[in-house]
Amino acid sequence: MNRFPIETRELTKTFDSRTAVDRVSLQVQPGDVFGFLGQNGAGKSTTIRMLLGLVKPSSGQLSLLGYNLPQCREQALRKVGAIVDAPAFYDNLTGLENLKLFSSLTGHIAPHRYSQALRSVNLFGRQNDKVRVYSHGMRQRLGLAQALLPQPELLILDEPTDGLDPQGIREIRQLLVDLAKQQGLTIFLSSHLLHEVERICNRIAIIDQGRLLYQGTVQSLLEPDLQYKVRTDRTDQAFQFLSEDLRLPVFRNGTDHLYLRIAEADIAKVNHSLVSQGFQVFEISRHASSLEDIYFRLTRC
Amino acid sequence: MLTCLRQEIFKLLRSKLLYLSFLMLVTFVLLMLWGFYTYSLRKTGGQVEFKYTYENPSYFNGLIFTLYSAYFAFQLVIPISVSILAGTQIAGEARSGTLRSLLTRPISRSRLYFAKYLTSILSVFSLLVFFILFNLLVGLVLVGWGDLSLYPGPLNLVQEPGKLTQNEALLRFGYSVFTGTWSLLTLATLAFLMSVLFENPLVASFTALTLYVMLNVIGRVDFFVDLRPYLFTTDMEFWRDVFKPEIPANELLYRACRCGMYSVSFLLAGLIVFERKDVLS
Repeated sequence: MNRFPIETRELTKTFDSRTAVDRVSLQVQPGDVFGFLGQNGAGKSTTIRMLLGLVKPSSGQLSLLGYNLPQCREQALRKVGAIVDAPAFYDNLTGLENLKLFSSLTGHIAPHRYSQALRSVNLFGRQNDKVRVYSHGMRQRLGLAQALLPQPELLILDEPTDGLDPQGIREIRQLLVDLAKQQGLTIFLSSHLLHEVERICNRIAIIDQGRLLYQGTVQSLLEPDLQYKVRTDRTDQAFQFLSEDLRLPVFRNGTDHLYLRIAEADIAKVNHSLVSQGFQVFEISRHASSLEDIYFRLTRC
Repeated sequence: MLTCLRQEIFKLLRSKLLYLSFLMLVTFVLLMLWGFYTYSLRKTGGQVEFKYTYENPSYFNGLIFTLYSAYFAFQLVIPISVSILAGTQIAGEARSGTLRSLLTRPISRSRLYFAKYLTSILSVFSLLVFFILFNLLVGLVLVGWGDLSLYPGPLNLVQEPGKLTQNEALLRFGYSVFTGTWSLLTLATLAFLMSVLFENPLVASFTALTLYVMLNVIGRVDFFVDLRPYLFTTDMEFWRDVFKPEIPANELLYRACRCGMYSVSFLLAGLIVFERKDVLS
């Protein structure tokens, strides 16, 4: 396998008779902020657990940072920081003790790196509190600090903003963007927050019932779905005119808008036809579907 | 491996469970004291001081108290502590989710497994050291030490009366820490295996303890005399042989080896399961 940060081929996991992950082939490129999307039970966490060696694949191949797993699991994990599900810590230990405990298993960490990591997740000053008094959001941030401590080349994050308040989500989003831009880190993250993924990821994969439905850039997923939004004084008649008389692909979704899937060059003609039929055209604008729209369409929710 | 072991020991020392086990042993010793005291009062009609007994003024001393206390504690109190301490090693981490955090670090499963097992050995050993020393200390302060007189009776150690001098007896208590640890490791390893099989520490500890008690009872019932040689509990009582006036070295070694074989079998079975286990918690 090549030195892709993450590469899987036909990765499959079955639990008894249920196939949780079905022949998934992923390719995450260096520097990607890669979003891994899917509903609960779609196979996201199982895939992430296979990537980290927590779950043994039933078949298929996978490599992390060019190291084949499971043979070279230890070498690969030296350069990987990860959060799987809700970050778990020893409640009877302080935040700092937890960080030291987990990071000692990776290798030597210079003392100043602890305060650096704690500052980066806004936990500096609370490091000597027992983890049992931490809120869910603080645990999430401590998990991120723990993942960042070994100075990884690859971050694998399972729902990193889960349970955070809007301010926390914004901070983590900014942190991930900065890490990717400034340190060239490759980030693989699963999330339910589609608008967050749309904002920070350059590439995504969508998984449903264990099968990969899409893999590629966010842009190439959204572009073919470009439509033009039209608003006139008489929506019903305009819809009838465009769909029946002009036979154009026009849709409506219960609002006062019509959505036309046509080439940019045809917009002027449509406008002219509507005006010549006595319609008052208030708006014709580009309208791209959101990732959420496409996601729900792909997964048929 | 050393880093892993150091971290496991650190976690053990910070765990409430270890100190609760010590507390349980202290409570047991205090109960034993009260039991001995009231028993001697009943036998003597309350006419004599605590340090004189109904049989022989020199019989009851801190050493015989320690021997009885150890004998009774080995029946259930220490096995409960051992099962809980070993049974929570992996299942406890699985339950709290920290097992997956540990296993996303670059350490092999076998290294973590053996580090945790060595920590279990250490916890059993520390429990026994504490228990024997505490008993000896309490015995010394309250009734003083003396020679260890042995009579045929509930301890089932000798067929006819015998005696160990004070110094020899103290040495034998030292030996018993090691034989006791070795013997209890059979149960600890079983609990450790259960800790790999179950993700609930209570279920793991309870299953190991139930098996131990059940096989112990079966081993004592004559109906099952043919089964007795195959039960892992049969040889666990070998730890007491160090208190016999003449230590039966060959028999002790043979029974220790059998206990060791059970421990190794449980340990390897646990390792195989742990290496293949999907961590889903």
